[in-house]
Amino acid sequence: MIMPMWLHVVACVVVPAGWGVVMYFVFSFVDARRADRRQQDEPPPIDYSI
Amino acid sequence: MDIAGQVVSLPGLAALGMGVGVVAGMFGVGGGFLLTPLLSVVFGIPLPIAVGTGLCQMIGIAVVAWLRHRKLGQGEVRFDFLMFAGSLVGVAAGAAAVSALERAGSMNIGSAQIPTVPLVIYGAYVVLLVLCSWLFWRQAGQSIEGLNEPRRGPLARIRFGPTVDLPNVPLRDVSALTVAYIGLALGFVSGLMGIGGGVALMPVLIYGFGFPIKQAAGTGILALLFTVTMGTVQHAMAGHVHLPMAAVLLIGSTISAQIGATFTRKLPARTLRKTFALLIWVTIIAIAWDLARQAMV
Repeated sequence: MIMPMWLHVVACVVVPAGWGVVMYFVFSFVDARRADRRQQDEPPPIDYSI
Repeated sequence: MDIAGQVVSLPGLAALGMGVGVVAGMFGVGGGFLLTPLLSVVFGIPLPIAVGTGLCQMIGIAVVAWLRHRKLGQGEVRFDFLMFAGSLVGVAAGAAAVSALERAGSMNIGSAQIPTVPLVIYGAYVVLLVLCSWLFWRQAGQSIEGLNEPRRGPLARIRFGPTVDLPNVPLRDVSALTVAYIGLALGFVSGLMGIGGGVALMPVLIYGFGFPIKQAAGTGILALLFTVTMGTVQHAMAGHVHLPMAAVLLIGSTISAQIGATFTRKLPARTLRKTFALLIWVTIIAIAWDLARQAMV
């Protein structure tokens, strides 16, 4: 099946842009998880109340 | 994968995409200046298709980078829209130039007959790459501390036609026509060579206008997104975009760019800049070798 020209042009823009948006959300999720893990690994704050 | 009559190895393409992605992540560039000549030199893909497909895959990289900069509130949108007016015309002219060169056939230099497309596009690459390499090598030992503050660069002092304020940078009374003409030049280079143009635009923003580095990166990426999208549309209409090849390259490059970014945090800035300059010279040698090979055929 041969793709019509207009569909080819639209696909050439939409496919990479769509992939870019997906990767942005994936990277944001990975970054957020890394930040959470870093926070969990930190020693608990010192309690000076005693 | 069959690309314009050339059988290309799929794992090889993915590896090239990953390699370019690592470089892009390490040095904060799109990587188009490496990808387009290497597609032609390593895989023998015709240059017009390498140019069009390189631009197409860059849309994905630019979208990820732009969304990240937007989240951090970096960039001056007014500047991008002014550039957009010029780059629209520039990209169309660049893409038309590639089609015209394709129709021109080949040129005789001495006894050798060299196709016009690689001769002109590679020539433009060599000029741009030599300039960039020289700039990076020269700055390798310099501190970038002063570049984090806004200054009024020489291009921002030009008084020509209507002026505009750029509050995010912040700069006042910048000539709108100068910005539009820079967009025109960037668009032409992008349409002709299949690069986003970040490698040329960043020095213009930082040293020419005096943008702080982070604002320059945020501004440059949206301008790049406009330019590569327009370039892709023009080249797709001329039949110069191979979408499956762009998809393979894009998958490899977006993922491996994250690996490159981690190298950046571990290596000193001086080493990074010198490595980048060396990499540019490797590309220049590859281009020269390919031109010599075509002249001998």
